[in-house]
Amino acid sequence: MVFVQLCTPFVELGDYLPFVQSRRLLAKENEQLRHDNDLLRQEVRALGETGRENLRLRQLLDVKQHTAFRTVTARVIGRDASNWWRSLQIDRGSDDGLADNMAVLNADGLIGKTISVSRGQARVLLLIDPNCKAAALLQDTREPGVVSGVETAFNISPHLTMTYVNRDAKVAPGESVITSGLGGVFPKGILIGATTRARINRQTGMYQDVDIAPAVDFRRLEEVIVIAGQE
Amino acid sequence: MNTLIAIAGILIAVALQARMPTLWWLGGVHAELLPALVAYAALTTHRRRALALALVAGLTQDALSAAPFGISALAYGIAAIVTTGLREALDRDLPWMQWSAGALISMTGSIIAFFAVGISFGNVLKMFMAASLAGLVTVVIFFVLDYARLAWGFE
Repeated sequence: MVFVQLCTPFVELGDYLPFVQSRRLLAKENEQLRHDNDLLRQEVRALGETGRENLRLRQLLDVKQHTAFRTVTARVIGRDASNWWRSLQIDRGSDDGLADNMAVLNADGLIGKTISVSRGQARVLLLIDPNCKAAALLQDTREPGVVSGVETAFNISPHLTMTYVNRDAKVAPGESVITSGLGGVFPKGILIGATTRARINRQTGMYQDVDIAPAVDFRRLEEVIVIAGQE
Repeated sequence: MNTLIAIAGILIAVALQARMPTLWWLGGVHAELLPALVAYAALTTHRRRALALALVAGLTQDALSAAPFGISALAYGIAAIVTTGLREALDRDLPWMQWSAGALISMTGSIIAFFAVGISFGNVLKMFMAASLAGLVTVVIFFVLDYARLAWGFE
């Protein structure tokens, strides 16, 4: 009787042995599952990126299908190394039919124009650079003007201004601004942005300056279309 | 050999600089690495070598920019000559001296660029932002390169 009582705790301890063994197995299985989970998460991230790229390329394809021009799709491979110019490097050049002064756009609107084209690469001067100017129209009122980038103090986002707008023109906020086709670089009808504010030019008082919110997000450019001439 | 390593370093730095994101919340500037390298060369090596490296840095930067070709080389060349001339008066081991050298070289580049892009209040403000950032980068570059020189014995 005493012997049985003395042995009882050990018998109960023996009940836990399979648990200890299965705990080891569980830890091993847990480690394997964590590893698999990491791999799957990486795969999901890669698929998400591919999906987003697919969406952007579909949008570009849609633009290509609805234009009468010969277009070349290019990837952005670099930004401007200097702080004083706004430009991009793309992975297409004269071998792909590109030349200087060709319009560059994406599904959202006008981006800029090509400058310094080499055989395999080209530099795109962005519309937000003060040196890049585009002849433009206010879409509803058909008032012409010239759009270019501006560097202002505390410039916390890319910014455009349309100058030489008739001082008597009624400019409503939110009105679309498109290229006018004058000047021969940018084809007519490409969206540039929407008006935000209009004011009489302080220096001359002869015309209005109109602030424009760009249609394109110049901070996130990955693929672009270059208009490389008539079809 | 050391000059080749320095040129390779400059090429890598320019490539990195061309991929730096623009900090719109800081007035639309991005961090510059080349003023830091020019400051390091000007305060460490002799004048002829510092000038050569500054010209290589400037020309490479211009090649990856919409800037008129040679404008940065001119700016960095002038900055390298002036900085090597001031070397005796500057204590290169003091972080604030390093910061000042990097910031001044960045400002030289900006001032030369104003001849092409024009000057405005916004541009002057942007110049100070860019210079401050370049100064900070310079302190880090001095620390890293001094450590590398000690570790690997570069001259």
